[in-house]
Amino acid sequence: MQAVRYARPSSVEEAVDLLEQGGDRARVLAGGTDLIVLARERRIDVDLFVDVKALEPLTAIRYDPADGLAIGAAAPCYRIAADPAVQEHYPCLIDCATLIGGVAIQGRASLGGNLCNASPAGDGIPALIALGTTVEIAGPKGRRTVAAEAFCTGPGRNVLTSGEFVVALRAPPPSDRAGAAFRRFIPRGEMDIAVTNAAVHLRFDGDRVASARVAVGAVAPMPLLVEEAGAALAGTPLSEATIAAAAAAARAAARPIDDMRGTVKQRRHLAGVLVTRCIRIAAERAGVQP
Amino acid sequence: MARVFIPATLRARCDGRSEVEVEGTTLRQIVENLDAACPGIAARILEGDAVRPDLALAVNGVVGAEGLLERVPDGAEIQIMPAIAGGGAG
Amino acid sequence: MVTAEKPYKVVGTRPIRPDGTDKVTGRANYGADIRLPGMLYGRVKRSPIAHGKIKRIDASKALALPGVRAVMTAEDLPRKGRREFAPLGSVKISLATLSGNVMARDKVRYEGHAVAAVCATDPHVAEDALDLIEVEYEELPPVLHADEAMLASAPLIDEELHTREMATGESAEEPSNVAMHFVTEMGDVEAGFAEAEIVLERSFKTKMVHQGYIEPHNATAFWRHDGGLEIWCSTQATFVMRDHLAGLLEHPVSKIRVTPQEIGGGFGGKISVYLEPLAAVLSRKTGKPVKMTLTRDEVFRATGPTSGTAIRVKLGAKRDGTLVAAEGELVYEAGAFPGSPVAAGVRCIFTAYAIPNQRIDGYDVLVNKPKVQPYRAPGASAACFATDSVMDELAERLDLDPIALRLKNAAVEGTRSADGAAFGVIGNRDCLQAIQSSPHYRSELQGPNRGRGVAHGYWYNAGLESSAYASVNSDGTVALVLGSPDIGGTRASIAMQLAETLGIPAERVIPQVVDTDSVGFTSVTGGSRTAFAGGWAAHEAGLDLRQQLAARAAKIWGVEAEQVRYRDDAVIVGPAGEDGGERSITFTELAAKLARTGGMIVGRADSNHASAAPTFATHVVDVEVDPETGKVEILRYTAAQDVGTAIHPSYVEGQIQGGVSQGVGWALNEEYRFDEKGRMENASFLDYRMPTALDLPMIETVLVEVPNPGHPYGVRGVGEVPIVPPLAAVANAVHAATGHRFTELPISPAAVLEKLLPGEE
Repeated sequence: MQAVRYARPSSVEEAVDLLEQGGDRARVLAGGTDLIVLARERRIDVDLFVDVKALEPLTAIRYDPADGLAIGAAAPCYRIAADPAVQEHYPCLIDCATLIGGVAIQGRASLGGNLCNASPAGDGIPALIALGTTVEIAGPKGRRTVAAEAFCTGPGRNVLTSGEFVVALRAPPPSDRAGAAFRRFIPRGEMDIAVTNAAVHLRFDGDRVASARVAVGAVAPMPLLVEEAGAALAGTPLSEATIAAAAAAARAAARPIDDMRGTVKQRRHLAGVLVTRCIRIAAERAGVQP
Repeated sequence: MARVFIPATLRARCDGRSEVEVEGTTLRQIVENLDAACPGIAARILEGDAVRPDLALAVNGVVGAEGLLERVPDGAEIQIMPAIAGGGAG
Repeated sequence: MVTAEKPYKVVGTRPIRPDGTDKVTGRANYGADIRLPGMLYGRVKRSPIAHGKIKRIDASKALALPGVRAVMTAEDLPRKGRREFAPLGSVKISLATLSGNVMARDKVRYEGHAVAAVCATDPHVAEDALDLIEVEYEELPPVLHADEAMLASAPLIDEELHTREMATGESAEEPSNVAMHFVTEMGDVEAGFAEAEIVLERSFKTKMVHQGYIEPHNATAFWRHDGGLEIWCSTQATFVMRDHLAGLLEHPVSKIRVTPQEIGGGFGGKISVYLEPLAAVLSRKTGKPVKMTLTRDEVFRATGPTSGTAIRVKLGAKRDGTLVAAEGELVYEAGAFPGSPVAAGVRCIFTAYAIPNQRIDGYDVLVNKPKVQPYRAPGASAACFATDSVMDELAERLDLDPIALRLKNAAVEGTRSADGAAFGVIGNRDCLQAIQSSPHYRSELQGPNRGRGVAHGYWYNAGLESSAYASVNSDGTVALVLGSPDIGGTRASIAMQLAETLGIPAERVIPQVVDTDSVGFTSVTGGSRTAFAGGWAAHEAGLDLRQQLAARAAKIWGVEAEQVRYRDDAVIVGPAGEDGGERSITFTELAAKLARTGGMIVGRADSNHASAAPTFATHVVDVEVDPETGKVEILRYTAAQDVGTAIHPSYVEGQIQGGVSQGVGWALNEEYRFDEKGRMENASFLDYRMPTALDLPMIETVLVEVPNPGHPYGVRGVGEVPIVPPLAAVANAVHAATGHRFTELPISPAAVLEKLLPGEE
C-alpha cells in the first residue's frame, strides 16, 4: 500500500471542503472494509482518507413513527442489526446487516458504504431500493436527495460528484400490513459475494397487494428496481400465478454476465428463485398467508 | 535368489518376461546379475554409480535408504518403480 | 471414536500440546515476526503474461528511487544444468527447474512468474519500486490445457524438453510439452476384459486447486561478510531447504543455516524454495538482512497448487462384482515445469483393490500455469475420484451394496499392486467394515433431494531419515531436540513416544524444533512420515538414555552395568545391597544426581527405517441438493481410517477432519480459474471459495488401529490419506441425491443447475 494522508473532519462542511480540494484521489473513509482493500491492492490510487466517523449525522440511527428511519451513512452494520426499532419495523435491513461480511467486518462496514461502493452485487442495496429509501447527499452546493434505485450508475460508479458524500439513508415509515425481505445466493455458508440477490417489499390492503417493490442485484451493471415485477403483484391478492409472474418479470429484467462468481443462466434463474422466496417471506412478515 | 519384477517398457530386453530370478545379496549384485540375464538393462536403471535420480528400487515393496548397498534377503522381491514424494498434512 | 485398547501409558492419551499456549495467545513466532537491525524489505516483480520471452529488464529507475538498495534478476543466480539434482527425501529435484521457477531466465512461463526482486529500507518503497522496474516481453501464445499441450502442433513451453519414458530413461526425438510418460502393467489386460461380464469406461476432469494454508510464504536472509548465510523461514523441510539453497547459490552447505519459524500450514506447499534464494542474493548485494513476505495474491498466482487432471478409467468385472481387469490413463498438469504428482496417481489409482490384470499410463504435461507442488497425498485424490466414481456406478449396475462391492475386491496381505509389490499387514478391509457397521451407514437417510455416497482410498506413506537429541535435565525432565518443522502436532506426538520409552509422563518431555546446525539431518515434514520416523528416532534416543542411565546407576552403586535394569516404569533397579534389599532409584532421583556423578547425559539417534506402512480410508457422506439453486449441503460425514496406532488421538482426529474439509472444498467449489490469456481470475480467498466452518458439519471419525509391525509403537502415517476419498464420496452422494453423475469437479451450484435445468435459458 502507498503512504496516504488522513483527515478526521469535525463538520460536514469541513468534510466537503477536504473532498473538493482532494479531487479524485481523496476518498471518504467510513468502515474502510472496501476502500482499504482496494487501496492495498492498488486497484485505486488514494492520497487522502477523509474519515467521517466523527460526524454525528453520519453515525446516528433515528426512528420516528411519522418520519420513518434515518440511518447515518457510516453507522456500522452491527449497530443497525442491534437497533430495536430496526428489528421491529425493518427486519429486511436486519437480513442484510447480519450477512455483509463476517462478524468482524460487520463491526466496521456500513450500509452507506455498501451503497457508495456501488457493487452490482452489493448486499445492502436491494433492500434499500425495495424499502423506497432516499439517499441524503451533502456537497459544495448544499444538500440533495436521490432515490436508492437511481444512486448507482454502473459497477463501482454512482451519482456523487466532486466534494459530495452520503450523509444518511432515509426509509419511509412502516405501514401496518407491510413486510419486506432480502435474500441472496452464495455457494458457501458465509464470507462470499452474492451470485444473485433480491429484496421485496409488499404492502397489503386486506388480502390485496396494494403496492409491491421488487429489487434484484448482481444481474445487471447496478442493482435494479424491477417495476414490471411489482406491477405483476399489485392490485390483486397474492397467488401462485402472480408470484410466478413477478419471478418471470425479474428473470426478464436480468441482463447478467458470466464471470468467476456465476453464469448468465444461473443468475437469471436465481433472480426468479430469490424473488419468489422474498415474496413469501415478505407476505409472512406482513401477516398474510401467501 | 531374488525375484525382479520387470516394468512393461523394459520387458523387451528380457525376452518379454515380466519377472526374472537372479542371485545377489545386495541391490548392486542384483542389478549386475540382472544385466547378465537381460543385457543392457543396467544402463537403463543406473546413472553413474547410483540408481537413476527419478527411479527407485524396492526390496519387498519398500524403498530403503542405502541405495545399491541395500541388503537383499533370500527370496526377496525387487520392484523397479518411479521415485515419488509425499505432501504434507498440516 | 477409537476402536482398540492399547498396552501403553502415554501413547493413546491426549495431553495438552506443548506449542498450544503460545499459539492461542499470539506469542508464537512466525516468519513475519522477524525483525533484525538494519533489515531491508524485499518484493518480487512478476510477469503479467502467461507465456513470453523476456527481451529486456531495466531497473535503473527503480534503483534511482530513494530508499531502494538493490535489484536482482536471474543473472544473479548461477545457471544450472537440466541433469543437476538436489535431494528431496527419496526423490531428486532438478536444480534447473528449481532455479527457473524461483526466477525466470530468458522466458516467463506463467502469470506471476518472478522476473526480478527489489529491496528497500521500507516495504512501501519496495512496492513503489516494482512499478519502476521495466520489463519488455515478446508475448507467446499460452498453452492452458493438458489436452492442447499434448498436441504436436502446440506451442512449446520448453524447446529443449523431450518426453522421457520413465522405465527406460529414453527420451523422444522431437521436443514436446509432455515431460514424462509412466507405464505400469500387470497380468494380461486384454484377456482380463475379455473375461469380464460388465465393462465400464468413464472420463473425469479436475481443476488445479491450492493447499490454502493460512500463512503466506516468507523468508528473511542475512549473508554475513564471512560468507555465512542465515535463513529464517516458514518451511516443511529445513535440511531440504539448506541443500536446495546450496545447489541454487553454489554455496557450501556448511555455510548455510536454516532456522524454521512456526509454520501456519503447508500441506506440501511449503517444501519448495521461493523467496529464500532471492532474499539471500539481495542480502549478499547489500550486506543487510532482507525480509520478504508474499501477499495472498502472490501465493495463489506463484506458489504451487496441485495439478488439474484428466483421467480415464475402465473397469471390468464379473456379474458377482469381482474385478478382473482395469485400465487407467492419467494426464496431470505439471504447470510450467516438469513434476506433477502423476507417478503417485499411477501408483494409487487401483491399489486399494485386488485386480489381476492392469495397465496404467501416466503423463506429466507442461502448461502455462504455476508449477505444481505436493498437496496432501499428492496425485491420489483425483485418481480415487475417477476409480471410486466408476466403482459406485458398478455397484449400482450390479445392484450391489457399494461397501460390499469394495469388500469383495479389497486388497489384503499378499495382494500385489500393478508395480509388483505385495502388501504386508494392512487395515484395508477393517476400514470398510468399520464404515459398514457405523451408526451413520446403518442409519436410514430420509427426505427429498438427499443422497448418500461412499468412497475408499489408499496412500503409501514415507519413512526417511530423522534425528533426535534428548538431554536429561536435573529436575527430571528431558529436553527433546528435533529437526522436523511441526505442521500437524508432531512435537507432541514425538515427545509422547519418547515419554513412553522412558516411562515418564508426557509433560516431562519438552520438545523443540531447531535449526540445521543444532540437530542431525532430518528429512522433510511430508509424506505422513514425521510421527513415524521422528517417533522411531525419539524411541532410539530413549533406548540410548535408558542404557546410559542404567550404566550411571551401576557406577553409583559400584556394580556391573549388566546387573542393572531400566524398568518400563522409569525405575532403575540393581542387585541387592548390603542391607539385603533390592537397589532401586527413580528416573527423577537419578536425574538429580547426574551432575555430581560424572555429568549430564544426552541420548542420540539418527534413524532411517524403510518400514513405513500404507494406510486406507473409507468415507461416507450424506448430502442435500437444493433443486432450485444447485447448492450441495453436507449433512453428515464419517471417515474411518487405519491409523496404525493413534499416538495422540485428538491430533489424529484433527488430521482426518482437516483432510476431509479440504477434500470437500475440492469437490464442491475450489478451482483455479484462468481467462483465455492464462491470467488467474480468482486469486483471493474470497473468490477461491474454500469451505468455511458454516459449510461443514462436525466430521465424525473412526480410528481403526492395525499397528504397523515395522514401528516400535505401530505408527502408520495419518495425515494424507483423509484427503483421498472425499472427492469421490461427495460426487457419489450427489449422484444419489440427483440421479446425475458428475465427472468433472468442482460440483459447483452452477454445474449442478446445468444438469438439473438443461433446457432453461
